[in-house]
Amino acid sequence: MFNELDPLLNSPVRLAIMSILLTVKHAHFNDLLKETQTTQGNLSHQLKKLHEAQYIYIEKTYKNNYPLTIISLSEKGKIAFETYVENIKKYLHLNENNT
Amino acid sequence: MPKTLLNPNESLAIIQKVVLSTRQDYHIKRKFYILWGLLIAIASFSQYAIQLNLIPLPWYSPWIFFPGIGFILSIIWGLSSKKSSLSYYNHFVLTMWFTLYIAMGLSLFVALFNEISPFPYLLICVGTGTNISGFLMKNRIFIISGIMLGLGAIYCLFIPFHQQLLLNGTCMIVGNVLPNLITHHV
Repeated sequence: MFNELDPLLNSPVRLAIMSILLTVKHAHFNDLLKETQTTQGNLSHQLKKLHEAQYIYIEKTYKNNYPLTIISLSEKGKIAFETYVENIKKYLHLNENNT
Repeated sequence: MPKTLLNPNESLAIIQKVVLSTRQDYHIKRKFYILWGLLIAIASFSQYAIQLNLIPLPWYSPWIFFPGIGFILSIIWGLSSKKSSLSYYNHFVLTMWFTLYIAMGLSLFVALFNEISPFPYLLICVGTGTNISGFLMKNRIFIISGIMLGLGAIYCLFIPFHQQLLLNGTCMIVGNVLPNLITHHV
């Protein structure tokens, strides 16, 4: 039944990450950590998967000698997320008029 | 189904929860607006005092000294602040105010070049920014403040220059500094 849903987005943490990135121009690793309420290791792992699929951009830099990771949504990721949401709507029999 | 996979209802619930909580969590750093509002107000009051010969300084000195402090503090704060994620809303508001500050600087230059009062133009710029921010935030205090700054700009046209200085300073405190002080959340 759920075969058409993007398996990469069909996981709680990855879906949460993509949802956050849709509302911000860019997010920092620590903010994502706070919002997703997951562990540092798991977040890194999920970010790596999304990055490998080219759904997100990851920029690693330094601020006051501390490492800073900035994450943003790619165009491919945005399209994938929109497609995912459209598919969910179809499963739930939602349309523009009753959402 | 493994626990790591979601059904459509769970997916929708996660998206809704995350989007709502993210929107609530990202705030604009108001200290920059409070700083500039205060500095422009103090510069206006200082020039008023200079015009009354209460302070023996050239008339333009407050407009070099106080904006100078503003630039230095803004740069220091900007460099030392803990950077956080940037929402599209905050990105828009910051870009708008950056553009308006340039417009204010140009208005000041044009007004001084033509030897006319810059305050109506400054108040229009600040009023426009405050009003747009208010409508975006759905915050009545900012909407009313923006309108008040616009009315102040019009009133400036009917009063002498030295009174415009007082009016400009008062408008900046009442219409810019106070709303930013009493409003905590976007």
